[in-house]
Amino acid sequence: MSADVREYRYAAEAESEAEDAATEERRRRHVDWQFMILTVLLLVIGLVILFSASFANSYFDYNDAGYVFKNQLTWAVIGVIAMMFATTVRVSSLRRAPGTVRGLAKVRYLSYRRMAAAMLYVSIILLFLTITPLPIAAARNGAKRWLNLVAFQFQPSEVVKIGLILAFAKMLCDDRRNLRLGRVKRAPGERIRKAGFTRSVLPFGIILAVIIIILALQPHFSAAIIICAIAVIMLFTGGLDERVMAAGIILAAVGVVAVIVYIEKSYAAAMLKMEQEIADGANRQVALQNFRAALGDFHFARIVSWLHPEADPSGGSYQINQSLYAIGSGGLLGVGLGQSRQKVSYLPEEHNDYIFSVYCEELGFIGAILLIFIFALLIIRGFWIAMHAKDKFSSLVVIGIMGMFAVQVFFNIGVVTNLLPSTGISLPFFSYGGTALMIQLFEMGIVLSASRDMKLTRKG
Amino acid sequence: MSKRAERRANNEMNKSMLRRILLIMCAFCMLFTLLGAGLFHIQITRHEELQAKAIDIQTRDTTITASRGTIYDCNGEILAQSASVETVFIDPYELRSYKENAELIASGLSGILTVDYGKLYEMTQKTGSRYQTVKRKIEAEEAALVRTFIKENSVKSIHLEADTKRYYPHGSLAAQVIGFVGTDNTGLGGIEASYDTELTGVNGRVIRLKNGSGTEMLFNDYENYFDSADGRDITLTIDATIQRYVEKHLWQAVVDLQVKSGAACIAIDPRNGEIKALASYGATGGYNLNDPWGLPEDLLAELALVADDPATEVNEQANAKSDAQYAQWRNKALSDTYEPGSVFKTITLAIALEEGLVNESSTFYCGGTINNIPGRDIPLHCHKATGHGLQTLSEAVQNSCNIAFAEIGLRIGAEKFYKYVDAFGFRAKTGIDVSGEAGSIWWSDESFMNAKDKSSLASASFGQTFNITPIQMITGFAATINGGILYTPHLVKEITDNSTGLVTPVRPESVRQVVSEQTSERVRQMLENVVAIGSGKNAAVPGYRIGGKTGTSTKTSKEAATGEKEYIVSFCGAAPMDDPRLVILLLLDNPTRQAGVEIYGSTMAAPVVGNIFADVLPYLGIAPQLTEEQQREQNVSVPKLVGHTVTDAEKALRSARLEYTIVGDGGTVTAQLPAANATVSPSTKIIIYAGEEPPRNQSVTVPDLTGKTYAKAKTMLESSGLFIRSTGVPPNLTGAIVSVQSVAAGADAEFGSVIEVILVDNTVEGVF
Repeated sequence: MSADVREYRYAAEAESEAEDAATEERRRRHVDWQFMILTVLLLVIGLVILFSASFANSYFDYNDAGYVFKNQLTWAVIGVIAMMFATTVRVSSLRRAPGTVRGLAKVRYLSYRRMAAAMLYVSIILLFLTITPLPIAAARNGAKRWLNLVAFQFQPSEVVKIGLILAFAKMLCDDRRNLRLGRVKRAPGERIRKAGFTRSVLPFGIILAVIIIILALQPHFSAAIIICAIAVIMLFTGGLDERVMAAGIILAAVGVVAVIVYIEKSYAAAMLKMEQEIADGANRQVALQNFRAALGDFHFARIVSWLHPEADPSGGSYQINQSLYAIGSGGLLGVGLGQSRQKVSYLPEEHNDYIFSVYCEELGFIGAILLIFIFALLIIRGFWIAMHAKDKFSSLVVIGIMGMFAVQVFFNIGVVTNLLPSTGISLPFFSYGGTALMIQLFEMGIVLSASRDMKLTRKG
Repeated sequence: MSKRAERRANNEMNKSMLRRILLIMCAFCMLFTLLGAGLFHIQITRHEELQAKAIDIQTRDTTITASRGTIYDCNGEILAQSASVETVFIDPYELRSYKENAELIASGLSGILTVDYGKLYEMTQKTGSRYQTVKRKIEAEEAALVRTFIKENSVKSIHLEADTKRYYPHGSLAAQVIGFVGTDNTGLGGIEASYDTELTGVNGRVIRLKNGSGTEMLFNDYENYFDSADGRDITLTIDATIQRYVEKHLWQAVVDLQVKSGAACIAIDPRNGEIKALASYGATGGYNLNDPWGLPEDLLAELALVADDPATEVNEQANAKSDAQYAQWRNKALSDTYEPGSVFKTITLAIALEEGLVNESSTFYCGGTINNIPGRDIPLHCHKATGHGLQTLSEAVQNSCNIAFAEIGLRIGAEKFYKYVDAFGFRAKTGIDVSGEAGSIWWSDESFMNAKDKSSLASASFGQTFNITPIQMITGFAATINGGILYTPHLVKEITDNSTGLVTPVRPESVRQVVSEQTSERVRQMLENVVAIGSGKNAAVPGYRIGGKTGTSTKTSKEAATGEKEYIVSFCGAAPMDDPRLVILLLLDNPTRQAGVEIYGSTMAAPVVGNIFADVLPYLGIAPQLTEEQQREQNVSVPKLVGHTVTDAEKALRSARLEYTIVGDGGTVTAQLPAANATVSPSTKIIIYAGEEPPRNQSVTVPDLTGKTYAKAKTMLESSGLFIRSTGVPPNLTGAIVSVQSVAAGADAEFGSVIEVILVDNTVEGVF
């Protein structure tokens, strides 16, 4: 880190400390209860549905109906402890939060803001380790996304998300990294600080590029999507120029349309060829193989099956069809908790990416809408905390976390309902995955920590 | 503004940032609303469509095979019945998924089920398949062994499936009538095929949830039953006891008379058309319903010699084998046509009587030959070359005179004759309720009714040069003696639905009154005379009023083709003639035995029918009305003499109309030959041992009695230390000779055993 930055940091910290001392009494000392309750509510619903979704196959595979559930429950307990711990560390302060455990007095000067750079570097190193041939790196199904830690495996990409959020938040608070194009309008007496390209856009781009490259090598498409989404949300909130934003949106839209048009064309050609082959008396199975080969690669095929779920129900669109059968079977009121039939039938990943399908089948449209409402409430409350955050850094961190959370929920539900092409993004609090759940709860802890320092004027 | 203040300002949130946060929040709210809309579309709009598809893939449809109905005889004796068995199959896909040991499974199953190991191992490797049948229709014990094997080795890929197997408790009894089923339990012949729908019932279904790997689910009670409706039971008109008698005597005749091309016998109740027995043998005999594809061993040995012609691709051996199988399944009584010969004269007689063209006082002259038949180039010969002379109608029937019947036929005329042929149903199928009935072969109306050519009419009058099936013959014959009513012959008496308890009786279907009751009465009288004093003597049973008509026909088409003369001999009889309760038609196709009696219906077919009547009429509860003379001629049962004094024994034997010799000089009988309760002819000389022992375990060679008179046969047997029992015509009848003996000539018999002989009046000339 340059001397420049260091200088700035010390100054900011001294300043913040001084302010802390001054405003200590005005701050709330407790977390935001509404956010806390919504979090715990989602956690509990998530665990219940996980049990419902997993017990049959757990019994079939492990001869223990509770196998998956118990695993997740253990991590949920650890995650709640992690969440509680996370609330004790201040987001943007040199002082420890009141009510901190005595034994942790040493961390009184610890804050997420101070840890931001370290978190980013460490997480990127961890992420890099996954693609090295080291024994610590664990590959599953050909994807190198995991690291082995004595008793468990975890995905460094989860940690990278926090690292990225903290680092971006901190960088966006640096006025030298002004993200406005052209000259900034000067208020009378204000000194013009023109942000150069190397100082503003480039550092964000480099960090993002490094992460995306590693994720591409893993490969981990879904994590890359979320990272990009976090970056966009944070840069937008942090003041990225509207024109850049607009240009980006236009570019993305054009790209998406181009891809869809291209894929539609290839699909139509492949389909025509297959029909021709079958008409010519070729073996149906062989024709289908040719069809699949023509559509080729993984992501390409995913988009085809999104656009045409009926085209190849035993191949590419198998999962989405099974998911739609599950959701559709639920109807208005669902088949009842624990009564899902698709989960024991052909629905894949019934306790992972497609757990929401099981939820919809069991609790119906009413239950699904209720759950989306709860998710929305949590997100809105999170944004509310961001709007009342103590400072820009806290606000950006909360925006980053809640934005990531909202994107995950939207993408997961969007995928299982076939509004979006399949990505492999899990549903927070619901999908099976112990370390991921723990990290999600830890992130909620950061938001709660921020909520403790909200600027609220007490009434009465 | 100081530098610090400026930096501080950058750490504060500004309005623009708050605005952007709100904007993002709104964006997410909209996206979430979109999700809700998507869910509404899937869960509400498309609910039914998607649910139907889901249920379709979630469920496993299991068929509950409806139990196939039972077939009973008219007295409730079971003729065909289904029992639960199981079929073992492997799911090679599961075998691979669970990584099970293919060698272990193959060797285990091959040990239990005696299936080839190599074949089983091959099945286990077909991992693309989910169903490989190991063995079908195994019994409960074998299934239990398989279950134990599955449990002990915790194998998941071996499955047992419920199935049913058809059992025929009586094996070959009424085989052509009952028919059999294939591996899929569909009827392949006889009643099993013709009433397949009724017997099969409706299969049920169980729909159970399954999981993704195809196994049935553990946690869900979603189950849907569609009840199966068991097949209906069928009660036949067949009486198993009568059938057994018929088959016993028919098969005996086939063996004794060296019948080469099969034989058939139908017993029908003339009062309603119910078929009480129907037996048929192909050239190789009958077959066992429990193994319908099995062939007799000597035939198999013969087939093994059939060489495949290397020049052609045809598998001669397999073809010959399947031909033999079809031949043994063929129901000769329904599927084969023949020239009925003189039996058909009954019909001509009934027509002429009904039309008033002849009466009991009509006379016919037979000089052996006539030439004056319009359209016939060659003279018509009677079977008696010297001619029958002047005969009354009844005598013409008794003599079975062709010339007299040709004349009667000409009197009737072609139009009227055909009218009656149709009325008797000879030109249409009888409509019997079992498949396989053949049609008859007649001249066209134009050629038959040609005024200038009456040769067809002449030969038709005595039953030649047209072809009908045996079932048509007996159906028409029954109509002439039952009061003139033509009944549709049928095999099914009633159909019982077990689930509802509903019994549907099959009502006798009277097609029409063909001739009047009076005509029928007169026909009965004349037919009774045929048996009493005419060509049908050999069918007589003492004490019963039996009537009938003999028939012998050359197979004209065969003769034309090969030049060899082959005969079909037949007899159609009814009893008791005052109120006929049973009509029997028996025909032997190509009897070849040259020794003993001549090859005629009267000498070969009539005695068999007589024997059947002798067994069946008492079974039907009809007591014989014996004259004193007949009583004296009855065979007697040897009384128990051992332990009695010789004097008592002598007295007992005298009263039993038996003669005796005494061996030894003791006062008490120590042994006797034949043993007590043996049936022998009257006047048989019983050997009483008083103080001495008869020779033990001594066998004697049975002499050839065929063609000998009764007296001669008796002497021959007694000189060998054997005893005689005769059936058939009375021993003292002139011309009676031994036709068949119970132990073949040259075979060994124990000293003192009783040999049964069938006496046949060989002077009775057959008829063409």
